[in-house]
Amino acid sequence: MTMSGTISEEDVEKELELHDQLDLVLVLAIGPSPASHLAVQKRAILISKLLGVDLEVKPYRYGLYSETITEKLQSAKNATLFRKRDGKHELTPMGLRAYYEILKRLAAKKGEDTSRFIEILHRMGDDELLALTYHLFPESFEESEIKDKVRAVIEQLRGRGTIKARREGEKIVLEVDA
Amino acid sequence: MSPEKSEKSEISIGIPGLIEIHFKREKVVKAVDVKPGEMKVLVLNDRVLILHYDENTKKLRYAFFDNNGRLKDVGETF
Repeated sequence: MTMSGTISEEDVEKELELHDQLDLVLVLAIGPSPASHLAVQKRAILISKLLGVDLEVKPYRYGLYSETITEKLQSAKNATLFRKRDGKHELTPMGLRAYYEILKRLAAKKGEDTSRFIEILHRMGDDELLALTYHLFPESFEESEIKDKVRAVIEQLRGRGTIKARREGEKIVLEVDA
Repeated sequence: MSPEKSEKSEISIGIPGLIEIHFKREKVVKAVDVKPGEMKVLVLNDRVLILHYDENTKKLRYAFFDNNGRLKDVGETF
């Protein structure tokens, strides 16, 4: 960090080297605006799956849950990147710089698709986020106390006709009509 | 259907076989492979398709977002 307190690109790069992949997933999961623990958990599960980062999860009261995520969110080692304030998780100034740097690296490495999806995750309300994670990972229903509510949202979205799926021999064809 | 334009994504092919996504509006076909347990994302003109091959149910699950980032459709293959 410079004398004026400005965070340089070099500072960000050095900071990123101090953390493992899951820490960086959490930076992406928290994002630019303060987020609830539930939202961070669900986003982190989706992002880690998308990026192929190993994460142990288990069905719990509100769907899939990772104890590792909770531990990392509370770890003093990660206090340079994120913190909890007023019941929500938020990025520190360094964490926010890291967020944009990681998005930039992902875009360079994997194309814009991954970055676009992460941006969408940050615009989703809790109902949509829960519906998405429960739908993609149906084991979320196993211990869930809110499964009826989530199932109702999924059923509203299901089969709207935007996507038509069919099999052609061994091939799966999805037609997007929107 | 005979698309005017076709492109293969960077993703290679494997189990459960070729998955083709036909974007009817643009007449673009993308071919992807999602291995068991994998999740992949495809974007075309700001619309986003998420694919997850669920190992437990052996189904390809998908979710579609429109160009405003709203979740518009979900489903799975049989």
